Amino acid sequence: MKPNYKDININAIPKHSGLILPNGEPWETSEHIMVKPAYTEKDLEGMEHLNYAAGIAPFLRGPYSTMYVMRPWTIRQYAGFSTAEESNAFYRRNIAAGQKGLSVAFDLATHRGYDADHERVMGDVGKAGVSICSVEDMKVLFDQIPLNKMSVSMTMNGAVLPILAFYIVAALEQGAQYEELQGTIQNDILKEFMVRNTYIYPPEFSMRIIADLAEHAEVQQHLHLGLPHAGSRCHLRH
Amino acid sequence: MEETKRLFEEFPPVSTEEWEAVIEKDLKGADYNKKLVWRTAEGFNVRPYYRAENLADIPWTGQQPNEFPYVRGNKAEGNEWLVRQDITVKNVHEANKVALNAISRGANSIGFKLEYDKPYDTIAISTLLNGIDQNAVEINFYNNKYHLPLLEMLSKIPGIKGSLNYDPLTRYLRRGVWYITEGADMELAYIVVKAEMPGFQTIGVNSHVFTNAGSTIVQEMAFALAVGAEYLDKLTEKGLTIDEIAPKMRFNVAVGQNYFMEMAKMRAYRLLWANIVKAYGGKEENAKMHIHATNAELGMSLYDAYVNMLRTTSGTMSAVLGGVDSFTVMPFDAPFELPTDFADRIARNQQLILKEEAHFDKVADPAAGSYYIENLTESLATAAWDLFNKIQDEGGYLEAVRKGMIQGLIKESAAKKFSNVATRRETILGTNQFPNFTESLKFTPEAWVMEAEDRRDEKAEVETIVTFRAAQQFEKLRYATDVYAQDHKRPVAWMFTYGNLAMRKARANFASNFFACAGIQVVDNPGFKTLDEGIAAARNEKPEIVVICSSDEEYGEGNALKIYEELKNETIVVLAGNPEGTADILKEAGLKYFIHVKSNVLDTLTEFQKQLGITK
Repeated sequence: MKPNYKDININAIPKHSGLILPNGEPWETSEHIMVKPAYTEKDLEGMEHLNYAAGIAPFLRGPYSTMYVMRPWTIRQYAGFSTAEESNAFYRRNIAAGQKGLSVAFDLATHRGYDADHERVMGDVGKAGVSICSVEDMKVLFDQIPLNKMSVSMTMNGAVLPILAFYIVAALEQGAQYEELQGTIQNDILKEFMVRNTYIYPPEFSMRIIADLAEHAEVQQHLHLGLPHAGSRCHLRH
Repeated sequence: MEETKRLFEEFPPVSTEEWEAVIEKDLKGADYNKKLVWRTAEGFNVRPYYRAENLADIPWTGQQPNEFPYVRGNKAEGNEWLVRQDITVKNVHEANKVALNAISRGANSIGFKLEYDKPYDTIAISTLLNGIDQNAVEINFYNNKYHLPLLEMLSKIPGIKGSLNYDPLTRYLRRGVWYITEGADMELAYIVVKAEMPGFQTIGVNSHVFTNAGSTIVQEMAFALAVGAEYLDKLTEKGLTIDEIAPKMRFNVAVGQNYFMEMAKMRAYRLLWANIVKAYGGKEENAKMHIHATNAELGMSLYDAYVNMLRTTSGTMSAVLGGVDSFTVMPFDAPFELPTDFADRIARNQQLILKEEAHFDKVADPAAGSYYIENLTESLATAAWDLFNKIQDEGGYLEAVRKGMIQGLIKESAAKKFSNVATRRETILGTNQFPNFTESLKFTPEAWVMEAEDRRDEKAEVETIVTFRAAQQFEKLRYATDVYAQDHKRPVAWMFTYGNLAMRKARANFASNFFACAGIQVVDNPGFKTLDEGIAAARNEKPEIVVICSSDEEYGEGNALKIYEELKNETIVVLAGNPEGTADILKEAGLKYFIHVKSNVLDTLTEFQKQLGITK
C-alpha cells in the first residue's frame, strides 16, 4: 500500500491548527528582556524595521549593500609585543597564515608618549604591546608588509598624533599612495581619561586633537581611516 | 492594536528597487550573477540577500512549533535537546564507569558502541547499565549485530528510553549483503517494531552513511527518506500499521560545515518525512521525525586537529538550531584515535556551553522567520523531494540500489568533492589551505586513518559505497614527507622574492601555503635588491625548491628567465603565477612548474614529492 508520492503537495500546509501554545514561563535575560519560549509570525506585527536594507540608512542590515558577499570582513588579530622586529616577524607569520588585517597593540610607554629609554617608563617598555619611539621603529614594524594592501587598526589614543604620522610616513616611504591606506586608529581619549589613565593632555585639549584628526581624514578624502575615532567600549567593561 | 508612537519615523521602509540600485552602483560594472549569486553544490542558487517579500511564497510561516508538518520542530516551547555522549565499549565495566562519569557531568543520553560480532549476555548488559537512572537518561545501542537478543534483554528494563539502530537497508548499501536474507532481515524489522517499548526506537535510518560517502545535502536527504519510506512500505505490507511503525524510527543524521544549509536541512527533513508518514495514513503526532545527529567525519582533519573542535562546534550549532532531538559531538580526535578523556570532555562541554552559556535551549525553532533560512529550507525540501520521487520512479530505495542509481550519484558527488578539495575550490583549513607550517605528526597513525572505510562483503550482491574524509588525500601526502624527514633533511621551498612589495609578498604567501600543504619546509625571504644577490643566496643555502615571487611585469624583461637559467641545474625552479607571454618564454626555456590559483594543489604537490624522491 505504497502511496503515490506524486500526489503529495509538500507545500500544502494545513491551516494553523488553532492550537494554543502552552505559554510557558518567559526567560528574563540579564538585560531584563523577557524572552518567550516560542515565537510566531504574530510577534512581528507592528515592527517598523522589517523592511530596512543594507547600505541604506539606518543601515540596520549593515553599512554596505551586500556586506560580505561582495567583500568579506577583515580578519584581524590584536597583537604587539616586545620590539618592532619581533612584532613584525609575528605579523608576517600571521599574514602568511591567512590573516588579512593587523591590529597593533602598543606598550604603555608609547601610549604615554615616552621614549623607551626614559627612566619613568623603564618597567613598561615592550610589555603588553610593542614599543615604538620613532618613524624608524614604525618602518621596522611594517617591514615587508605592504601597507597599500593591508588594513591596519591601531589602538592608540594619547600619542595619537605622532603614531599616526609615523604610520603614514612609513607607508609613503614603502611606496604606498596616500589614498591606498586603510584602517582605524582608536582615538578615544575619553575612555583613556576615564578608565586607563594613559592620556597625555587633559580632555578638553585632547578633544581638540580628536576633532582635528577627524577633519584631517575628511580633508584628505582618500585617507580611509575608517573610523578616525573608534569609540572603544571594551575597556569600559573592565 | 493600540496606536504607539513610531520609533523610526525619519527612516521609511526601503524598497527592493532602491536596494538593488545601491548594489548596482557598488558593483561598479561587475556582473551581478557572477559576483553575488552563489551556485550551491545542491543545485540551487542562493541570492546575496533575502528580505520580507521572499517569505511570501513560504507556506509554513504562519505555523507554530510542534504543528504538522513540523518544519518548526517537535517541541512546542523551548529547545531542549539531549546531550549524548558515545562510548566505545571494549570492557563493560570500564564503559559503565565512563558513562556514569559523563552523566554526572551533564550528559543525559549515552550511546554505547558495542563490538560488532560479540554476543552480550544479561550480566554484561546489566553491568553496562549499572547505576544509570533509566528515567533520566536515554540509552542507545549501536554497531552490534545481535539485535534480537539485545532487544529481548532491553525490553525487560522498565521505562527504558533510547534506541537500538537496526538498519539492514543502509547496511546493504555499505556491505552489499543482508544479515541473513532480505526476507529474514525484514522479518526481524517487523519484530523490533513490535517490541512493546514506548520511547525506545528500534529502526535506525543511518543517513550519515550517505553524508560521509560524499553525498550532497539534497542527495543525503532524498536517500535517507527513501530508506525510511522503504521500511514503511515493507513493514506495512507485513501488516503493521503506519502508527505502529513511524514512532519506532529514528534518523541518525550527520551534520557538516555548511552552517545555514545544515540548519535548514533539519527543518526540511521533518517537513518531508511528515508528509510521507501522513500519505500512509499515519496520525499527525506520529509524523514527527526523530532526529539524532552527530558531526560528519567527512570534513574532519588529522593535521591541525584542534581545528576539528571549531568544526564540530559550528556543526552542533546548526543541528541544535535546526531542532534535532539529540546530538553527539564528535570528539576532535575521533578521526584518528580512540578518543582520549580530554577529547571526550571537551566534546561534551561544547554542547553544554551552547546550552548553559549560549542559551540555545530557550526558544523553539529560533531560525523561523529568517528570510534566508526559510528560503533554504524551501529550496532543500523541493530539491530533495524531487530526487526522492526520482528514486520512487525507479521502484524505491532497494530497486535504486540494485540498479546502481544511488551509488552512481554518490560516486559522482564524492569525485567532485575530491577534486574541489584538490583544487582548493573547497577549503579544509590546515589541510589544503593555511597549513600550520611548523606541524609534523608526532605519532604513527593506524592504517585506517588515511584510508576510506570500505565495508564491502566478499559476497556483495550490489555495488557498495565507502565513507571517507576529504582531507585524507592531502594527509597521505604530508605524512609521507613527515616520514621522509625522520631520516632525511626536510626539503625546503625557498622564496626568491624581488621587486614590487605587494606582489612578491602575495605570491610568497601563496607559494608558502602551497608547499606547506605537503609538509615541505618553507623559507620566506625579505626581498632581494638584485637578482644576483638572490641567486648567490640561493646557491649558498641550497634549497631543494626555489620559488620565484614577484610581479608579472618584473618576471618579464628576462628576469625570471635569468634566475631559471642560473639555478636550473642546482634546484627545482618554480614560478609563482602564470604571467601572460612570459610564461610561454619560460616554458620554452624548460621551466616546467608554475603554481597559481588554478593549479591542482594535490596533483602538483604529488609531482614535487616524486621529484624530491619522497615517493615513487
